[in-house]
Amino acid sequence: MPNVSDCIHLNSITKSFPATQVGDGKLLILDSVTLGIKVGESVAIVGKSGSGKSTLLEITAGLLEADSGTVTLNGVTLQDLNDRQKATLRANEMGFIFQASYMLADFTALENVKIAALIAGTPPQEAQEKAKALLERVGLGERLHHRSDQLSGGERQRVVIARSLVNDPAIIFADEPTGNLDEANAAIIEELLLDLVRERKATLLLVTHNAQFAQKLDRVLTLSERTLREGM
Amino acid sequence: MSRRIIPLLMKRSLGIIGGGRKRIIFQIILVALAVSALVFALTFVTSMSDAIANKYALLGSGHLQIHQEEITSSLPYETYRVGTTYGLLYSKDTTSQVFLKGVGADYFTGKRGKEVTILQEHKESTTLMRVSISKTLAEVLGVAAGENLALMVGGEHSVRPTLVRVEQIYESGYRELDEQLVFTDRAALQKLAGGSISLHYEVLSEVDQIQAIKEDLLNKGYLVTTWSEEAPQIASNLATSKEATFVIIGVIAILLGYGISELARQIVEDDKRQIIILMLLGSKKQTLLFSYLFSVLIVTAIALFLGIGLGILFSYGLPNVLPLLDQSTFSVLSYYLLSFTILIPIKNILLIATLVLLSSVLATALSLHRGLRHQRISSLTFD
Repeated sequence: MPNVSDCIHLNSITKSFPATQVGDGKLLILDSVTLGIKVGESVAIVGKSGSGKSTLLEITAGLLEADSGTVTLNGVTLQDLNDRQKATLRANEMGFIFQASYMLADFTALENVKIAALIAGTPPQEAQEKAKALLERVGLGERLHHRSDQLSGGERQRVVIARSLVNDPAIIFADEPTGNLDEANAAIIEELLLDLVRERKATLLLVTHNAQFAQKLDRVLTLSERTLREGM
Repeated sequence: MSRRIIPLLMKRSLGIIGGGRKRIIFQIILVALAVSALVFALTFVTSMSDAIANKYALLGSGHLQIHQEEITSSLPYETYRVGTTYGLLYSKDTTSQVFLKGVGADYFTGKRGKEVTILQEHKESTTLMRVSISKTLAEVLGVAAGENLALMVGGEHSVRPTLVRVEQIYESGYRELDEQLVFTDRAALQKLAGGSISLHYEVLSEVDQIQAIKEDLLNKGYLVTTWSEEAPQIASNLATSKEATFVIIGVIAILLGYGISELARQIVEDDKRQIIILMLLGSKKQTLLFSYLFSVLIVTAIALFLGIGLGILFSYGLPNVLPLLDQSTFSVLSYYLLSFTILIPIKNILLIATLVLLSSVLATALSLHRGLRHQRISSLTFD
């Protein structure tokens, strides 16, 4: 049973989208989903394409509004926050990694990581040092001043991982972080992500199709028929 | 404090970081050219209007007129005694109504002398009354210097033609003013016209001192009028055309500001993906709005600075081009004053620059606010 002291606490989340194909009807994606994730726990959500995994991740991160239910992150209920407060929470408490490596195209690897620290209010010099240290940790010490178009897919994803961790967030949200990579690169990124998350004792909520990757995490949940169940 | 990212984002928007430099330079050039055209137009119209007003004052009526036949006490101003009347000049082929000004030998000295160019002169001794007519009038009457014309003015007892000698043909540069203006000796005109002549004094001054001198002379008991009171229609036409030009340029400046905001909107549209990433990282919309706004402000300020400089440079080049136009056969330009001193209307230029800056900042702020309001992080992410 979920507990209010959980790091992530979802209480009876329901979400539907307008279904234009079926007239005025609505397509129900999530039906009273309840979930609790403890501090430092890593949880994978698996499920078929279109099952609503990413929608659940978006709602959990406060990027999408649920029709009903509440999301509590480290004791803060997202539904009570305005846009500015949510932005502050995202900057300080959350890290994001997506399938496509969303780097800021005109900035170098170092600037991409540094900017996340600056947004969170880190002084420029400290932000620079933290960004540099993290990029070195993910093996990009020689690529600090390369821009997105000068990096490979795997390297870009490493930059994004470094960026997601630069503010020592309590929670990392990852959506198919290795989905665009070849097998060898995917394995490296998987290990790197899990090592870094464990080093920092951060909570990880991961959405993936990859069963092998999912099994490396503390818990695996399957989203099926609009609800979550434990295991694969 | 996400405000710390503003300098970094501005560097990117301004092309110092990344590849947007060409776009920014193009935008600066575009705005600078538009501003330079406005500055040039404003300078041209202001300088020409002021020059026409000054020419009217110097050749037509003086900056001020003291309506007194004789002043015995000395005045601390540049004064000239003149007599004026209307008359008719007859040549072999045609007749022209003229405005005769009887002046002293010292009349065309100083700055007034610079307002006319003597094109032809015939100094042979004669008992006839000698007149100076303009090039325009000479062309109408078909005469050259040294030839005679018949002049008819209304005397006290009779009206009869008198033979006069064309001693000089001058050019004032402004046809509207000189096509009827004939100069002659005051004593000779007084003798010929008798009581029909109007005797008064013309006072020359700087334009900005006219009112002060008028008040001083009124306090001394003289009946005084300014050149604009003597020629109210011309003065109001010049003032209206200056004001109308300023208003039109002002409206164009506001539209230019709106145009700049459209470019900003386009930049935001192009940067949609980057904006969403920054919002995902926790950047606030207000921070993004300020970073784009400051970038637009800097681009506009640079463009205004360059545009004003370029416009002034073009304006100072104008005296080299206008004489060429004057010599050309463009009949449409024949009624314009094409030789004048360039005066840079700094106050009006700064006002126009402020209008461009304010309208661009306001329109950009609104445009960015609208553009950013619709940005949702979820539009970028997930499957």
